[in-house]
Amino acid sequence: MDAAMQILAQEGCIQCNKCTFACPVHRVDVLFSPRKVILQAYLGGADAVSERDLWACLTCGECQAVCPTQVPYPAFIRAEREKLRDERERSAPCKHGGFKEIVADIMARPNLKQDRRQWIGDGLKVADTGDTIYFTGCMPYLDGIFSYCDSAEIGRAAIRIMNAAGIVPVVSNAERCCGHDALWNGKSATFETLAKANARWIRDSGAKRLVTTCAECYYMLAYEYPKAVGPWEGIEVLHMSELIGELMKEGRLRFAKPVDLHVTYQDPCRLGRHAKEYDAPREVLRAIPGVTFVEMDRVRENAMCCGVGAYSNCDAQTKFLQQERLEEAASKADHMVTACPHCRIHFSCYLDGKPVDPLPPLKIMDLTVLAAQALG
Amino acid sequence: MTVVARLATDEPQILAFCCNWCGYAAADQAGAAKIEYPSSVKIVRLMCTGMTDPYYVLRAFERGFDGVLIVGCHPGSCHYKSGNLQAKDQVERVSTVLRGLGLEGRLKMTAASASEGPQFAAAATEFTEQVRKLGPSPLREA
Amino acid sequence: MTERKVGVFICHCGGNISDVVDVKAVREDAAKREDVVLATDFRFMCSNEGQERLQKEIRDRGLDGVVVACCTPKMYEDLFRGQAGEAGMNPYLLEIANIREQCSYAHRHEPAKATEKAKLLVGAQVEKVRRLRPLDVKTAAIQPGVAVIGGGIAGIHASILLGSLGHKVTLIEKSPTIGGNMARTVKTFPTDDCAMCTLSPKMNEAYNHPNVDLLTYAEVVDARRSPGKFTLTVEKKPRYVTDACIGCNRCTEKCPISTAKSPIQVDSEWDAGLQRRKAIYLPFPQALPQLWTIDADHCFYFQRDGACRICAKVCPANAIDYTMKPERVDIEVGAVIVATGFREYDPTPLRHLAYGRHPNVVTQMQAARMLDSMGPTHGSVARPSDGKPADTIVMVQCVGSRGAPGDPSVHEYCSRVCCMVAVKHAQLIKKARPDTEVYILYNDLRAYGKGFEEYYAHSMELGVKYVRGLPGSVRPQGEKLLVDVDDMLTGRRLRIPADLVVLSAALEPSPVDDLLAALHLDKTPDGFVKEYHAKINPTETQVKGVFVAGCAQGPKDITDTIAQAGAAAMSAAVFLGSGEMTLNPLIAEIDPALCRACDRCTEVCEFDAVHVDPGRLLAVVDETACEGCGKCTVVCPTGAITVRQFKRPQIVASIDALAPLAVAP
Repeated sequence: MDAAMQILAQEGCIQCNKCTFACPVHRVDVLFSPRKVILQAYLGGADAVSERDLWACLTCGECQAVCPTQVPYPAFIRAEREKLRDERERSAPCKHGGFKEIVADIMARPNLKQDRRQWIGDGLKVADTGDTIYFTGCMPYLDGIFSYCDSAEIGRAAIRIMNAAGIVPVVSNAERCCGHDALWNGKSATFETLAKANARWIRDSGAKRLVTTCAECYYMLAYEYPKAVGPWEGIEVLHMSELIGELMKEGRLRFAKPVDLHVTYQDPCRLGRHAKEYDAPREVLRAIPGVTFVEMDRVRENAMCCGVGAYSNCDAQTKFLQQERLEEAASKADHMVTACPHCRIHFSCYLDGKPVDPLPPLKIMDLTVLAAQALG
Repeated sequence: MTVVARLATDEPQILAFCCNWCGYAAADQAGAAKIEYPSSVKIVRLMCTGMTDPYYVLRAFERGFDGVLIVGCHPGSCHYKSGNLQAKDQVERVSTVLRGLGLEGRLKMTAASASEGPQFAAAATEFTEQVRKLGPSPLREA
Repeated sequence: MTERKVGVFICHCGGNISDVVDVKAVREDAAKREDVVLATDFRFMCSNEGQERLQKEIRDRGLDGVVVACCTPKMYEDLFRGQAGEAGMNPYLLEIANIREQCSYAHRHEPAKATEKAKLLVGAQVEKVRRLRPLDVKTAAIQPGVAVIGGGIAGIHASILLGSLGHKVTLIEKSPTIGGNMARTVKTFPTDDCAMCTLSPKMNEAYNHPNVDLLTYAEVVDARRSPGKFTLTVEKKPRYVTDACIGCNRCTEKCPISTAKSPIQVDSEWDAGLQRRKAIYLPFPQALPQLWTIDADHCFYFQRDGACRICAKVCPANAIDYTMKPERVDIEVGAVIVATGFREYDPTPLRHLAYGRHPNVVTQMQAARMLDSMGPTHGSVARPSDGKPADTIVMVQCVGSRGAPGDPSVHEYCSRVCCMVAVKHAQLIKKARPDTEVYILYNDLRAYGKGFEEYYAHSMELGVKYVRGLPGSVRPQGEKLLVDVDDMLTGRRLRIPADLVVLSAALEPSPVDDLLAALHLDKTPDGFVKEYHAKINPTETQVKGVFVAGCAQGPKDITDTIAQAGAAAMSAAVFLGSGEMTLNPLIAEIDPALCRACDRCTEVCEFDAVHVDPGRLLAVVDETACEGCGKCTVVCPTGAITVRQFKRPQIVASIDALAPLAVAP
């Protein structure tokens, strides 16, 4: 039995259909149903999955969150993509994401000599060695194609916060893409190459902590890397929101300047459902003076995905998902805070174009950038 | 992932994206006038340099090209009004990315109108030399 | 990918290729490639025999993809595609591998390397062809009929020609009469013909032509394009005078507007503001149509709630109808000629020349009106301030033309005709009153045309004084205007006490920005309509089916205007005559499954060829407007919009085939 079917066999699907009604893609495409895909797989084997079903899934995990038997549908799809990638050519890879894919592919090559610090700018301190590594992932390259928001701003805010707390983080030119998209899009060989390369320099560095501002890098480093390259002995993996929380509690970070904003918070799928970190970002938001934080209705395990998973399924339907979530956010606040640069990119891409229906004014803001503003 | 080297050569391999109306025609004119330039320059025809997607540039490097040259119309003379201006913007964008990836200096955009065969050949030759000085692309090795 | 049957045909080009490239080796290499079912070579693919072979193989083997490796596609791509079409294969499944100009010619002294390169070039085209889809060539029937916008000499001439060829012409003119600027110029250089005498017969011919439908006092307010057709919305302004009018002029005589005590005064457009006109008027005696018009903006009836009805009272034919309303009509045509002409630059911003601050500073158009024996001064070039004859006249050239780049109050270009206009007026004045002192202050005296130099030389014989220098100031002193100028040929400062200063003001394009926007026409940096190509195609525009003629495209004299109008008419006739427009199939198309309706493609499109349909939330390509440049494909986030024959997988496959590395996932 192949890997995909093995996954399905572990937890038996009882065909209750709760997954379908939780699935955001189903809301915009009634023919898309996780339950149906599982049934087809049971009856016809792993090869029975169609191209549309294979790639339209956001791997957000909303299905699994409501599943009574906890069928790991995203993992199943991931395994299917691994198997069928060559035969079922994606018709809907986000074209701008194709750029991201090839940059990651280039980073998987051995002889690269990167310059990954161009975006840092003046007044911020980074080091070649130290206790804390700031893992930037694809951030240095994102602004090359995703012009609708400034991703490097997140990195600068992160370093500013760390410097303010007396931390001079390591930003290394040896870093590679964490391999998130490669793994989730069926290119596990590329992922393994990237993971091995990252693991080597991280372990060689002697650092004790890995901090990242990206929910996807966090999930990968914390959950997938140990499976692929062995556990991190003596190295702790943190999302920036967790670090900020810790620094606040230790008194090493003070929010001196009030930031008067009405905000709501978008749980990223990779930080939330996949990594189960719901609280740290909320604690940060509550600690910033001047911020009025209002939750959306669908939060935490039930938070709605930003509409694109691993840059492989943006299509004509995606805009309706984005409209739905942004309407929800705009009904609560005028700023939506994200803890993942990709949520930010996807929502910003939507707002940069024309919304399908009028939206009250809403800005997308990164959590780390917001926290840095409060430093004063 | 397996990378297989196909060309056993030390010559810098250059991919030239040429627009149909100027760059490509200039290359034709160079040939017609029997002006020679390095054979390691391979041309892909696009209707307009404005069709140049950063993905194509990165793909070329990922597949082992040592340099990428984009040859279009002179500013103000684009057959499609301003496609070459968009190309210039995209080139600037992707150049930042290339610098980060350690591939700086290997992408260049230039202009050669349909009657400028000698200029095309000169640009191709000069760029090949420029890239030769940089050495083979770090992505050449499998 | 489904299996394809690709044939590769390698041409020797009689040695041009085969002397350098080892064609046999290229052939063998091609034969090994996936989906290639035939690899063959021949001495001359473009010969009859070569073409027959191509057709035969396509038919016999049922090829659904062909690569011809030969000379540049610019030579024979159309030929080979045509051959493929005749043999039953879709023509767009054929690509050329350029192994001559870009291989054997360019690498003559490196045959081994050229051969290796040729193999790769053929391989790249094979990979592209394997991924090509058949394309349908659509045609659109071209709507019969032409709209000519602008009833000056350019529009009139073009209308007559097109009408005579049998086309239905709608000639649309904004003012109440046709004739345009030429009608006001009095005499034409270098022949000193009476302008109205040469123009009037043409005006009549256009007016009476059975195929020309004249819409005067009408303006194009909107334009829409669809394949093969333009729909113009024309608003016809009401004249408030019916056909019953007998032309007795009593209404004009009695109209109280512009009389001494009237609170409403209106300048005569015809007389360039040198005198007033009434609210009800005939623009000039030879106006066509011969219809009086009430200018409602300056009429007591319309401006004062029906206070005055004098014209209706005195009209013996009961031809006044105050209830007329504007009327909008849609006309559908296949071609449009823009002949909207020019207007004179207003020199008021040039304070040193005192135009608008002293009545005795006028423009050449105003001088022309003075020279008209039926004009405001009955042919006498007089001082507007007191009507006394002007004994010393100073003409100033390049007013508003040839200015400093970056100065927003003047134009950078040369207006071409003003030198000759000044020469014309100067010598007419000298002939009428030889004692008049006439100075022309110039920078260069441009007498470029047929008979111009002789005309200019003759003016010098008549005593016109040419001073090389442009004035620093024009200041009133007593009754005179002192004109200070440095004569650069003698090195002396002159101070000329002038009675009249005539400014050779620049020619500007008529203010038709809304019309140009509606027709998606561009302007060149000088503000005139942009022609398709400045040298080789000055009458077409970037918009298929829209042509330009006369001063709308750039300043020029009547001779050149008529020549260009003829050329534009001919281009339009050729376009209409074909009856059918082939729509270029190598244009953008949208995959509805991927379109985010985000508008990014719309924002970058230079040809206004793609719009988001708000109802369907889908971008739609206008197949007549799209040029296939591909800018949109780069900004589209999902890849919904692609250009046929240049799709991403096709280009990527070419790149991969030429590349030094092969990467297996």
